[in-house]
Amino acid sequence: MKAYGKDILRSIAKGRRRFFAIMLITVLGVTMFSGLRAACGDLRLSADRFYDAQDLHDIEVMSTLGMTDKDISALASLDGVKDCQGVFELDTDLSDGKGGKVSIAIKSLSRSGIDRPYLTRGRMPKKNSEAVVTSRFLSDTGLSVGDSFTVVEKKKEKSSSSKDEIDLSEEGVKLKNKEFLITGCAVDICSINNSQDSMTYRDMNTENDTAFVWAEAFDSSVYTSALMTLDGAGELFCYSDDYKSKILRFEDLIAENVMEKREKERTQEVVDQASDKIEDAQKKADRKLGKAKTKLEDAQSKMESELKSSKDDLDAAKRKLDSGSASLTKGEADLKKAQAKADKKFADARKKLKKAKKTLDKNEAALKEGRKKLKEGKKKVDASQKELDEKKKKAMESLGGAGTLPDAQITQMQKKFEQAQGQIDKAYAQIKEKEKKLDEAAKKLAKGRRQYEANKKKVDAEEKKARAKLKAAKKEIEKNRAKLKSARAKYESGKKEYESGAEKGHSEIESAWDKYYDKEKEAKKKIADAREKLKDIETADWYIQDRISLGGYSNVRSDADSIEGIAAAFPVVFFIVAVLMSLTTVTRLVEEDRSLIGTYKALGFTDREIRRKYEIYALLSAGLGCLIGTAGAFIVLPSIIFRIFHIMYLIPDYYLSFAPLYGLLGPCLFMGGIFLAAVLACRGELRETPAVLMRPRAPKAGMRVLLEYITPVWRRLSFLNKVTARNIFRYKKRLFMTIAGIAGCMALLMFGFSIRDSVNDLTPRQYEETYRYDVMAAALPDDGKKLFSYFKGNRDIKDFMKLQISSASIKGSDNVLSIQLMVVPDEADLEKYIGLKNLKGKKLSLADGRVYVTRNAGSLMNFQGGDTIKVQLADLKLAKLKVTDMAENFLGNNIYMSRSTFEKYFEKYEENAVLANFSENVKDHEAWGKALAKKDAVQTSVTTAELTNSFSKSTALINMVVYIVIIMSACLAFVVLFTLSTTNISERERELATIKVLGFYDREVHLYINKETLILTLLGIVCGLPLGAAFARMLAVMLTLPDIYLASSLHPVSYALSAGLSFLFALLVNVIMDRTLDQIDPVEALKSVE
Amino acid sequence: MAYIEFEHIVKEYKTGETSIRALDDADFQVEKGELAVILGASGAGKTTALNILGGMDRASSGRLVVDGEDITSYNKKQLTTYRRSSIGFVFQFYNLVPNLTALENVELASQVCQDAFDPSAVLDKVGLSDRKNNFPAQLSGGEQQRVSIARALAKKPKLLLCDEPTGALDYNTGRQILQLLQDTCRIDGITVIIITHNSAIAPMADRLIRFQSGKVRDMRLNPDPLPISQIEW
Repeated sequence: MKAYGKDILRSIAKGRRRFFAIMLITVLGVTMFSGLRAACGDLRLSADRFYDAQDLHDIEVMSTLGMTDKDISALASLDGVKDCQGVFELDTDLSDGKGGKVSIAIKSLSRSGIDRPYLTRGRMPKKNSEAVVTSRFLSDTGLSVGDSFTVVEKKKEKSSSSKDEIDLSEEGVKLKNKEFLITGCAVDICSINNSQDSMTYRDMNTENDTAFVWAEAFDSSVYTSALMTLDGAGELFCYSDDYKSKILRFEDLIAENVMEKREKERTQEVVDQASDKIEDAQKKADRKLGKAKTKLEDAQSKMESELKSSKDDLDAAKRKLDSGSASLTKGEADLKKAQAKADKKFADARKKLKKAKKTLDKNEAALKEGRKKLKEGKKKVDASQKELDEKKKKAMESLGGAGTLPDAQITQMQKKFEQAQGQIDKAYAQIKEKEKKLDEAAKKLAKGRRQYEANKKKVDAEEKKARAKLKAAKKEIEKNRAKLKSARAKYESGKKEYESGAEKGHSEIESAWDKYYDKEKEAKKKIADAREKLKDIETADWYIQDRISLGGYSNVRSDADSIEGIAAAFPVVFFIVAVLMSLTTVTRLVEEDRSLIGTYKALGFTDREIRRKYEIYALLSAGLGCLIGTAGAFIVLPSIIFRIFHIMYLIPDYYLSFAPLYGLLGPCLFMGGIFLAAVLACRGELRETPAVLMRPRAPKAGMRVLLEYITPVWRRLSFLNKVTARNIFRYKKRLFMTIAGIAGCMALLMFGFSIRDSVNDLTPRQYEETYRYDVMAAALPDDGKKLFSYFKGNRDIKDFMKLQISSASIKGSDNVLSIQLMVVPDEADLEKYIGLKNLKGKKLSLADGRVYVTRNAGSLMNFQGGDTIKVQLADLKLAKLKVTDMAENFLGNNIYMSRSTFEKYFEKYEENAVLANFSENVKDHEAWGKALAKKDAVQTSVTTAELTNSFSKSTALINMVVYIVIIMSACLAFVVLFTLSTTNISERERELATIKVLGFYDREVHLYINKETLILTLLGIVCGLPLGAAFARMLAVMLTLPDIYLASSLHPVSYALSAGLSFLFALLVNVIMDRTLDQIDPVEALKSVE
Repeated sequence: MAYIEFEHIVKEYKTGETSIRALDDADFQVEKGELAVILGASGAGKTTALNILGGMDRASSGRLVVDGEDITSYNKKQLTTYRRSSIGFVFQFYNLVPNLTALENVELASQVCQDAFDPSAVLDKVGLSDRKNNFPAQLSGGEQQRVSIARALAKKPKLLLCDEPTGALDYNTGRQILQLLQDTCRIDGITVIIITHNSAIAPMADRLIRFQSGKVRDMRLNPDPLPISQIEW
């Protein structure tokens, strides 16, 4: 090899570190450029292969009247059809052995293998009583392979007035037997989303748990749908435009050639069947009515005769009563008379007695008076006596004492005394006589009294006897009266009974006749209506769908697109960084080779020849980096991302593929960029004349820094700090590149954190501000009332609202979005349950036919307020709705409208769901919701508590993105700082060697350089903060996931974390650079050329 | 017309308002096959003149004619070709490519030149037969300088320009080098110009050019140049 070539190789070998730095950043850049895109391509490819392996249908045809064998053969006869099979699908329930129900779907397997499930465990069913089920089925029912399950067939959905109508509609799909043995577990190719463990904030009535049985297990002649595969479709990539146009063309073919004809024929079939049914109904009705009539007539006559005999009995009883009553009345009258007589008799007697008493009393009083008087008189006499005696005594004494008195006087005195005494004695005698008289009177009185008493007693006794007799008589009369009363009462009640019985009997008969007549009328009406209805019999409408309607298929496409959306931004950053870094590195290389280049020039080498060395250096390092990066992009990164896909989808195997466009574009870009950088780096040096080159470059002129002019600050800085200040601004390229590099790193870090913060903020935003309800429950068809009964008057429920929730889909030209339709009663207040606001935060009202759709649906399907969208319900009814405005929402998608609006577009409004708020009684919301879900009539019950708790599991994709971003930013910051620091140090080798010689300790040398690096990093962080904030705001635009609207948010913590991390990287790089600094040998470094 | 006509060459360096004239209207001639020695103190302008002569620098004004060609009118490409094919330069500090062996360093020269001498032979000629596979770091000063000379000679140049070739060498080694140069001139007939500040070797020259302050102070011919062996200093 030529000598020059040897020089090139040896220079590379010597400058290994720089070579690897450029290689590393190229690896990172190329990996980021193509890696995410490759992973998405692989996802689509793997899905396509899976579909092909399982013969997923290309086209599905459904009809409002079902598909018959004739339809199948009509379709199969079209040109280009590989296979056409009819399949059954039945939505039914499973009793879970605890009294609750789980709703499942049973699909039929076709012998030709179309839509063949992918077996993961066990074996395929052999008998009609065996089934293979999905893993979701097993987890929801708690069963496992080897267990059996029993099917509870749902009532066929009937309209509200169907009770009075003859059901002209087709017989639904039915199963022959109800019990099945689970022989294995498989993946349903139509639904490859792995919904296990991830809460569906897609609509409530989502893909049911599915069981597959052989078609022979169904007892029906009408298929639920027809599945078709087309020739040549399997060879096409099912996400390509070629495939899409092929399918669309075929759909048109069906529409033009088969659809109308079969629709008409099928409708006629059904009409014929219906009129047969009507005839049968008529015959049946006639028979029934005839029977009823005779029965009724018999009943009537029987009743009449019974009534008559009862009446006779009653009349007899009445007569008896009347006679009894009469005799009683007489008895009463007699008694009254006797009573009056007795009263009179005794009244007279008493009067007499009274008179006698009065006399007696009078006498007694007189007697008492007399005695009193007498007493008084006696007293008086006694007093006189006493007086006399006293006088006598006195006189005696005076006689005795005083001497003697004349006898005349004594005799006078004695006479006086005797006179007095005689008076007194007379008085006494009078008194005695009176006394005697009084005593006599007293005796008479006593006698009189005794007589009186005796009379009284007699009268009393007589009266008593008489009264007693009367009383007895009265009592008897009373007794009789009571008897009579009860007898009468009995009669009355008997009469009443009879009357009511008669009435009842009559009215019964009457009403029975009425009923009969009504029934007759009814039957007539029914038949007349049915005949009328024949005219409006639902015509068969065909709906042709393709894979876009399948959840898994569309999700693969949209998920892949979203990830690619993120992937767009990063490579740009990395590319810019890669180019800048190589520019720096090669510039440094060229500068170091300055005198060498001069020599080459002196020797006569052309610029081109000299440049070649650096071009080769750059190309080689970039080339190797691209090779490794390509391997990383197409093998390593996809393999890592496949782990995430395994969580999201049920696709069994993932294939790696190479996309030539990106696979080559990335390396070309990077190699081209770095090559250009090398060329640019050389340009400056090569322009100089050899003489100049061979002189060492004049050291950069020192210059004053702006800071110097701020004297108060400048004065206070230490010498070394002044040096640092000057040095920072001296190397302008380094200044800008460090700031830019760190700012870029900050921006990326903040972007990553904002993804995480936005995701974390989703739950409060969605489940507190938007979904204000605590629990949402949907009932099985027709079981709405039962569901409501669980909420009415329940102490656990603070308030609740009834509404209709149905699953619907928005049909676009390219894809189909499944969405939840919420229809609210007209006067209901939705505020307490859902915070319905538009994107600007204004509250929305559902009045006047307004229709609102959540914002994510709008960005996915490309429409906004004012546009018209096609919405199809589960029963295939299609309507064009004008969207009034977009509603703010973060998780899942809904259409909101009021009842009257719904009825305007779709007709049948049926309340089948409840939004409710718990009262304080309920502590464990999740448990309540789960308990409700097991109850009868409840199809689903979801509490916002449950959704919040399990939300984190479904954000695997987001978390992966966040971690990748953070790691990439770390690498970026690291490489930038490392390269710049290395370059800076080698540039200033002499300066550093000089200070070492001057006697700086190692630590001081470290500080000399590190201070600058850290200050520059800080400046970079400061610049990066607004940049990162701007990046974060763009998040929502970039990351469009179908079910999530990531409103950007960035917490203050994240700002701090990003700044902290960037600073940490700077510190790390400083630590590594310290070692390089220690390795500078002053002697070598200071060796001079001149 | 002399082989080399250095006419009124001015080399000016402008920095702001001041301008420094490294060559201030320098003027000399050299004939073909001569051994010319340029003497002068440091800063006299010797290296600058040699650089312009060797196409490594441009004059600010004046005219340089070498072998009938006006070098000062050359564009960059022409200058490169001039250096490539006509000039052999020997530097004071050798300027060898550190990553290449002695032999490879000489091969470098032969790469750029179609009609070059065999590198190995040239090395033999300068007396480095057993040093061919050593790197410059493994060679002594004299050996390095000889490699440098070999490199210059391998190109079969018209002019051999040597800028203080013995400046970094000791007395004896220096003499050897000078002898080599003299022989090259005499035997191979190459025009050799040597810059030195050692006036003692003036006797070896055919022509002596003295520089002072950017001007040619003196130019005289020496009819009887002495061989180095006879010169002592």
